[in-house]
Amino acid sequence: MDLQAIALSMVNLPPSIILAGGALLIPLLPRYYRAAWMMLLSILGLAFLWSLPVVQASEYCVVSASYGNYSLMPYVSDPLGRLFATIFLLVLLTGSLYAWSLDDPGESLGTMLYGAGAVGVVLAGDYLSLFVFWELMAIASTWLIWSRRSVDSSAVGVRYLIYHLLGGGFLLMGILFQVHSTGSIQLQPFTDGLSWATLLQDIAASPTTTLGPLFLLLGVGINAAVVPFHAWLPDAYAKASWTGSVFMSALTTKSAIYVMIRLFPGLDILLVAGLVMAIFGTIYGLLSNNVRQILSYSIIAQLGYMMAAIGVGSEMALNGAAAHAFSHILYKSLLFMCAGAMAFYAGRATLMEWDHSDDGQNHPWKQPDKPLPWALFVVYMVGALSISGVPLLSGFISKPMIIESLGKAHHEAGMLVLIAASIGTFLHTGLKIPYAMWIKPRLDAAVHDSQQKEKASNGSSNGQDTRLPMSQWIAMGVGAGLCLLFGVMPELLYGWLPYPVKFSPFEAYPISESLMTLSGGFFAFVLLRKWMYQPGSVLDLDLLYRHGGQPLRRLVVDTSWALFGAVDGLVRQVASSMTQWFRGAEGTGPSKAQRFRLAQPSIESAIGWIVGTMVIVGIILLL
Amino acid sequence: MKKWLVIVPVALAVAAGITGVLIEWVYLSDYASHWWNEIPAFYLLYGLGSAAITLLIAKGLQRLLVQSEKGGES
Repeated sequence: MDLQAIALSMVNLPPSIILAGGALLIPLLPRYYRAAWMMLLSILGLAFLWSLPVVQASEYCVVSASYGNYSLMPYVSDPLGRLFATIFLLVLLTGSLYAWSLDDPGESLGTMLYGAGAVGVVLAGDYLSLFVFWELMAIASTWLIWSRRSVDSSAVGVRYLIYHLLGGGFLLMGILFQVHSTGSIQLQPFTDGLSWATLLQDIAASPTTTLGPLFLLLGVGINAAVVPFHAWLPDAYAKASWTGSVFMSALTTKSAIYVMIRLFPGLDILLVAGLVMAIFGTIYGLLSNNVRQILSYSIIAQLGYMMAAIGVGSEMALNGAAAHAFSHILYKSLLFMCAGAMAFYAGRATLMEWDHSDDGQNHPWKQPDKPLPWALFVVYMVGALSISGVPLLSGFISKPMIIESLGKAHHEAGMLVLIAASIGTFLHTGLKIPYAMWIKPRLDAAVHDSQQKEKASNGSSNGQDTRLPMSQWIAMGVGAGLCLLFGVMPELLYGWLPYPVKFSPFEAYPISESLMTLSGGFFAFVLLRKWMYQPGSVLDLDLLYRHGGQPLRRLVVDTSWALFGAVDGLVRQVASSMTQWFRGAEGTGPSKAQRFRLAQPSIESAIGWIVGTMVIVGIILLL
Repeated sequence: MKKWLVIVPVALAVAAGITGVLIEWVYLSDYASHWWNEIPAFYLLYGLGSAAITLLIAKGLQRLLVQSEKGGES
């Protein structure tokens, strides 16, 4: 092989392999070199991704291999995949800078493997590669939750893993049905007039061809946090490590949106699901009191926009979904970075907290440990106004595209629902959080001035570091800069979209609509803001599964354990009898208490059961 | 200092609303893509109304869905 051939094959190295291979070196590196290495890997990934020729064809397979009778395509570079891979690598770059002072090699390793999985998913051209990267993403992201090392995060991580293994199991079953019915493992959109009604009608007539798309939809829908399978998202993102939530806000749900765009463009049920998600996320965002939980619910609302656009399925709508995923990653990662900085200054992750000690009375507006700086307010507001769709910021270049695509498809009620959800997003992210964290504490400052000074002096006298690391400021500055850059120059993003763009946000209608709705929303907040604040924790739909799932749990888990316990007891009895028969005396097996402990179900075995059962059922059906 | 924390955002919101209405009046007087385009300053009213309704729904659900933490009456 000559040098030119080697160079050519190097150029074709998939970015996911660069990230995953490079990640393995992370534990060997000293603390500050790790973040630099992660940034270098992200830059290399971007360079390799963009070194390929710009191909406007529907697909361009860079790397292929064979597995039995099937052609694997782990690296397909088409405009849609490249757009998602680019924004994933950009967020890995800025997020690594934010995590510069992180002293946990395990978390850094998990982050890069997570990034490798996400990039691998959006560049995969076949189901098998997609599934492998999908599972890598699920396992590595769980590690980011566990990295916080709190009691809460351990339990949340297990719940998150169960959801994602269940989703992965459905995805695998869908893949097996699909391969069985078509004989191909290539990712192809279900475009032949696929609708929810026809899917349900055909399920009885030809289950093998119908179950594939249904299971795929369910598996991807869990990762896309479609209501009512969304409870993992606010649960996990509010409890992950501070740096981990920055990456999680960007990768898992958006890779699912990519797969939805790829497989189910124009599936009507997604429009309904999207509208439900938009309203649900908005209302729950208004109910929540924890900053990261509010941001998590607003992710669900924004995913609703993308899902509604995929349900419409026109070129403009799919462009809108892809553009909104890109914009959303930019401003949401910035907002999660700001949430970490807010917690650093405020000493808490909540907006309101009961103040028990200061004046002898309990009041909910506890002052932050340190006043939050105005510079943080500026970068936070860039993200918050972007998500609210303010002109000249990144959200404005994608959100109106989706709303207009609904209008062109004559879904006027859907348009109004999405506009209302956008105003709700402005209420909780653009007004509720900054009012509680910056404005209200300063309005109350006269009462608390002396306490603030005392706390500040105590903080400095204890030698605590009261400054946010410079790397975090730079990362937030870069994030805010990118929101501004793409907001001012939307053609940068529009040039990367999968279809030609026939839309300009800088026209009178979207600007006038945005300014008027935001102004109206602001005055509603001024009048009714007291309704938005309540200390406490919000109950989500997962309570229904937890309670409603009890009978199912008893039926499935308890019956399984009883059955296997009976078999186990029988085997032990036979073994014991045989031992006694051979030895002529009682054996020395485990005690009763030990046997009881051994018989208790563990979380590992529960996960094993879920995945194992699905694999076995899938294989039997395939055969 | 305190009064500016109130005056600046209110002034910005008023300016945004007036600018939006002016743009609609000057450039979009003949624009009628949807039925609501016939109503002057529709989006201003819709912004106020939908925000108020969303807040009302959230307030209604608060009692049902928010578990108050220890500390006092909520």
